[in-house]
Amino acid sequence: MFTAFFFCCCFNACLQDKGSGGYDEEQCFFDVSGADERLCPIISQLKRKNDSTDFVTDFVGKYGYPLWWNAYGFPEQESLAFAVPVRGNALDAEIEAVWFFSVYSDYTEYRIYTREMANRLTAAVGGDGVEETWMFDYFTRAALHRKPKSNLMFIEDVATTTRSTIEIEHCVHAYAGYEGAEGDLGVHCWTTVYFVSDNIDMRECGGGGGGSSGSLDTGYGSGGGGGASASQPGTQTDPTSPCGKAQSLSRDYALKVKVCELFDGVQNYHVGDTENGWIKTAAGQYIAPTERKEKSMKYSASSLIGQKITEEYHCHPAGTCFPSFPDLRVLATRYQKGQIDVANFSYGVVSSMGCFTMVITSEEAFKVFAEKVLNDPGVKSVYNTMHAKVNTNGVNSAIAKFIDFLKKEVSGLDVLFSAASFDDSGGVTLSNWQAKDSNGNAGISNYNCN
Amino acid sequence: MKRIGVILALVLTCMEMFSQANYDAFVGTWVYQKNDTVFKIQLQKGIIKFTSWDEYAIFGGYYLSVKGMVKENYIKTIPTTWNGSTHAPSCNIYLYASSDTPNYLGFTFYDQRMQHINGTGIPGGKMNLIGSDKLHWKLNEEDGLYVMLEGSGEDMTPRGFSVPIDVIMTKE
Repeated sequence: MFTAFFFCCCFNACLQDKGSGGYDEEQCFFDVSGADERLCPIISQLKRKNDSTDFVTDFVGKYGYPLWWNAYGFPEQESLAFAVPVRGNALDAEIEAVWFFSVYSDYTEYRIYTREMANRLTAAVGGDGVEETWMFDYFTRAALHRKPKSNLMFIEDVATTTRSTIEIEHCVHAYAGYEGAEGDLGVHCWTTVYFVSDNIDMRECGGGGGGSSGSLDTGYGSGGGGGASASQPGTQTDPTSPCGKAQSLSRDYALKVKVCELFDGVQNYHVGDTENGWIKTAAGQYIAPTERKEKSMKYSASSLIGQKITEEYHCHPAGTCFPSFPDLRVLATRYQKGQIDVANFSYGVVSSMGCFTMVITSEEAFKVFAEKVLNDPGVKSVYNTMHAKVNTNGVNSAIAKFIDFLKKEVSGLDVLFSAASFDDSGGVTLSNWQAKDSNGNAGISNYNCN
Repeated sequence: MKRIGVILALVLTCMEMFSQANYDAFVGTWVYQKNDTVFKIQLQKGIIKFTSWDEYAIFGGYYLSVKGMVKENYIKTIPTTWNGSTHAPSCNIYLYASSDTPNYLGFTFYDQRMQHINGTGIPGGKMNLIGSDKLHWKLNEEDGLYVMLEGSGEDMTPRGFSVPIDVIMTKE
């Protein structure tokens, strides 16, 4: 009832003339008047989130005010995306931040992209930086009606192209220079994807925290929020090594988002919650479980026929942070059936402690291990003796003793871990994945990835 | 600074020494008696032979009588080594335990009456030495079922144990 009521209020506000300020004192929220009505569900969800976490104050202090009425909408794969310019707090500031929203059928992802992040990305990938920064200049012209310092000019949609038969790209053609002697700075298309290739920290998961990045359910919103801060790009590492795999997963934004969704569910655990997860195929298709119970879940066998799996993740809502013995048997079975894309495969268990992930770093060894897991009862005894060790150092011991088990069995698997950490305000963050090792006595350490 | 380093090294050495399991302290027969119920376990040191390595462990058996009637008697001659790939009860081993922490053992228990997980044993048991002659025995069916059955789709309804699940035992 409240949702419907609030939605109506928001819708009404959206139909009003566009606002001139950035903050609505009465609503204690951003000024959203004049916003595209398609943004209303998002705005209402953010409003609800702000009612419980008051992220607006932090957001405004850090980035400024979103100019909802200047939002740019564009289709992207399975989502409808919006780029909302954020006006900085300084009077003469250009647009320095853009808030992106990707609206899917049952949830919305959002994240902030700042010029600072763009500059860092440019430093990492080289080039003139226009590809990374053009949208700030675009919005400086379109929303603030001001000439950006870069002097960039844009012609919209001149290069609208087709990515596929069903998808249209929205692009601008950028120029700079003097009238009549403009330099062509290329065609740039709206997307929410390319700028996250930077090695950003994992976005904040769970309840609480501020709200520059996160996800929103279409129902009552889950947690999420908090700034995604950029860090230095990783150094070149052997991509097949545990360090390389950890780096690769940490740069996989789609994976991070999905892990965060599972993690959010685990953080908000209620008795009776069922397991959840996904399988991703080498073709990029996500397969959802067809059966979900409190302590198990299954996929339909037919959905996996002829598929190579690159990701298999599931959660233990109230259970251990590492795979159960049947989890290992399922993994071994998939391998023996030829269903695993070994080079690109990762297997994850998401618990309240974080995301425990295994990658195959020696297929030769893993092949033997898989055979033993399925046919040698001794492996189960080893697993039991592993589980018998007490977790003297919490999650670190639990992970370390599992690593000891894998090493003793010469499994060909390496362990990566994305740890949960909690801040004073109740926000939960998942770190980037780190390659983990153990000393054989449940003593955990990080691989030296430098 | 050098002195601090030496002290730190000594502390770490001591921590290392005391972080080893003290299996000897667990060896023997332990008894719990209340009213007409007598529950005993017998523990001895052993070695589990795995494919490419050995695990030092504790092996044991158990006994239960109620009102003078013997309900369970699985205290038998226990071998000093056990091939971890074989069925432990067939070697007179009804629990096997291991640890790397002093005064603590985690163990897998083979309840011959309840036959958890098709008789293949249920992990999750814990024994804490709370004195030279006092042992805290605790079984955790939920934990054991979780790590052995989660994801399998098999029935994980607890069926209980035929022996006490949380008692203080005294060394005989």
